[in-house]
Amino acid sequence: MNRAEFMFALGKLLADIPYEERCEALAYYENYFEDAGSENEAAVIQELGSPQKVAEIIRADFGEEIGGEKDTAGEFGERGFTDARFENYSTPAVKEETWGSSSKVILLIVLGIFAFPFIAGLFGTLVGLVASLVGVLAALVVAAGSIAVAGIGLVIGGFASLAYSFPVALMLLGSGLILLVIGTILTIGAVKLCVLICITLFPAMFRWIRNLFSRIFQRKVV
Amino acid sequence: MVFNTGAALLDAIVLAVVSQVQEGTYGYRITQDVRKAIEISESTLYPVLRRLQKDECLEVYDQQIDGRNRRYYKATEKGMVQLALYKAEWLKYSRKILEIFEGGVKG
Repeated sequence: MNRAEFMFALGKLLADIPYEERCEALAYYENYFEDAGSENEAAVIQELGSPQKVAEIIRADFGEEIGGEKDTAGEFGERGFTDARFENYSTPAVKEETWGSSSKVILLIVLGIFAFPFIAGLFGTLVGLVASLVGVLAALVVAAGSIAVAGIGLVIGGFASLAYSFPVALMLLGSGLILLVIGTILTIGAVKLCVLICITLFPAMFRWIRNLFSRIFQRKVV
Repeated sequence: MVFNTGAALLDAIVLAVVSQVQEGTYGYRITQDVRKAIEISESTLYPVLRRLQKDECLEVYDQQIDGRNRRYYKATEKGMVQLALYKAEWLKYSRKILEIFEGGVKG
């Protein structure tokens, strides 16, 4: 976080206090940064703490004046200024788990039984998809390979018919070589496609599945 | 630091720091000066200055410095009276503590 970001965040956090107070506070910290110098910018931000903390301190003092309640919550101790009101401000509220662990296990088992057809179906679908993808890829490689093999066959045939008819042999040799080249290119392409899919798609898919499961189980078990 | 600094003592320290500079001083410098005496987070000083300003113990004025405005804080008449009170109270308080520390409580 740099100075501009800090000031922007502070301004937003102080949006609900009176305009004059907000301007005063922002002007003070702008001034502070200016006087500290740009070489100390990072140190000042580090020392000030988060914009949330700075805003809370400003707001607390301001609220106290409206409420008329004298500030006795803050103290300066061994670790500098401490105020119990600010200690936990950044910790988000965590939803308490109130069920006992045994009832949780039972719930999970019941849930597992009822969800089994669904989960099995989902799993089967996934396995089927992966298998079909593998099949399609294999078929591509085989088809491309077959073209190349057909080319080789034609070339051999061409050589064999050299003795009978030169033009036929030439035609067979030529088309055989063309097929060989096309088949080879297609095979290489298909293999490369396989490798690409194996190194990118499959890991991504497994990661997705793993995330899905961890999300499901985190919510219920932890 | 082992001992806690209450709100009144912090007010007193800030007032003393500001009053030591006749023509007035500014936020960053006040923070540095106060931090020579006590450990204090930089973010705690603004509310103190603002409160002292509202209590009319401090007055503020802006002055052009390097093409920008710098806000100066200066102790008022009322601020000096308040500081004198704080000083007297502190002297009484610290003297009593010292008596106990050094003389002991004899029968």
